[in-house]
Amino acid sequence: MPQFFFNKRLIVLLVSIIILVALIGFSLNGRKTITWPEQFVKDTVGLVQSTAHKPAQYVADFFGSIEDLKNTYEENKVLKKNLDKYMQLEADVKDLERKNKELNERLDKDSTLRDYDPINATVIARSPDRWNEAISIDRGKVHGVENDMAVMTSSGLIGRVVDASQFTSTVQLLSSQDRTNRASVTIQGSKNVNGLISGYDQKREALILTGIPHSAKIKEKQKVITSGYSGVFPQGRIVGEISDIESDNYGLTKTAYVKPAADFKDIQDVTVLKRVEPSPQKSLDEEEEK
Amino acid sequence: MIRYFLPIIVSVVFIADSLFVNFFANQSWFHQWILSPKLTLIVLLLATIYINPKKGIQYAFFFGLLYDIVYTDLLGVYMFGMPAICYIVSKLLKVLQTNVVIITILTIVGITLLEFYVYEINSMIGLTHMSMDRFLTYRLYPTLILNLVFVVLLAYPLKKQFEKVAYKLTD
Repeated sequence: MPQFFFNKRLIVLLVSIIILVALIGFSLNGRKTITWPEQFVKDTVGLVQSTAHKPAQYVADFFGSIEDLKNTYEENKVLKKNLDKYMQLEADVKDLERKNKELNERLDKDSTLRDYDPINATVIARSPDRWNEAISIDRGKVHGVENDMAVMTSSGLIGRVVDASQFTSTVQLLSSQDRTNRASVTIQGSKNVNGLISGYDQKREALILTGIPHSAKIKEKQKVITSGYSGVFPQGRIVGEISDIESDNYGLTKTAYVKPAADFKDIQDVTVLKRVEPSPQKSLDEEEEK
Repeated sequence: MIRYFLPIIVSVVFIADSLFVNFFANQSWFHQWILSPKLTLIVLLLATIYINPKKGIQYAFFFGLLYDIVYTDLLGVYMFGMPAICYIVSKLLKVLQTNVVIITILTIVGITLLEFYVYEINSMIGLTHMSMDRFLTYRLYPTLILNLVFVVLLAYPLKKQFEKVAYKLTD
């Protein structure tokens, strides 16, 4: 037995494993913010990353333009078709927006769940370990980014802020496998149906939308938008459209697969949405403090 | 100048890893393969082999910690994994010869070990639900092929530089 304990390597190994388990436990233990040394390291590395990112972006853009040239003809055909509808749609939207504003004024409501301040950001890094689908952006607490804010590209919702440092923040994508990766959404139809995005199916490349009542009438191609009921997401931002519907094992609820509107693979410029209306949890917390 | 070669090169590939994923590994022609560049580990393993194991393990510890903080938000995994793999490779090196083919195979073995280790930890704590079957076909094999290309490209130029560093250190 004494021989066993004097083996230096074995002790180093055991101590390392204990530290490893302790550190993993520490980082998983539902912590809301990261510690300041981590923030400091992230910001410092982020500075280097954003410097290195810019020239790389130029090179990528150059090759991207060549790729685009090949598809120009096909794309142009489709776009022309859509353009005819677009003019009418734009006029309608303007009209509806004005009407909506008038009605809100009559109700004495100056902000709704829909309103948000956009914070534009550039992606400076993407996790090379590919297990957690996360990106780093070059805006942080100083610019008004906070934890749990929704992040979009021009085409749709992509994820939420999980760690905001001072000058950079980490965004967890909806395609991540993490079980805390949730979003409350609404399926648009003649009657709106609410559900919860609760994961990502890698085989189908689609988001899993659960908690839809079995009686709800939903069909494929329906649009899915954020509901604004959870946390700090603003209402009415596009997530994707339904590609497939299945009944769950017990026949009580339905599960829909949502094809995301945004491309999770190629993300360069994003917008962080800062909701104007405070989240109910936050107002509660503030009241408690008083 | 050569004295600072190792920290500079490891920092450069540390950033390059993420740039590669951001611009190259996401392209649509790679479709559903999950390519994970392991440039940092490759350079650290080559440093372990050509400079000395102690230096390699020290750097692996430091850059593993940095990797955890900056990229994964899960402290400890790479901080422990990277030095451990450098250590294992340095032990294997004692029984094997150091020719280019053996070194290439050793580096690939190191990458495989790291991939399996991180996969096991992530499945254990529920960060991933990927099946072993899927992990092998869509993740491990493409990743190994990609990194084999990196090793072939990097091994010879780095060997020359690292031998210069090792020579300087023995002075």
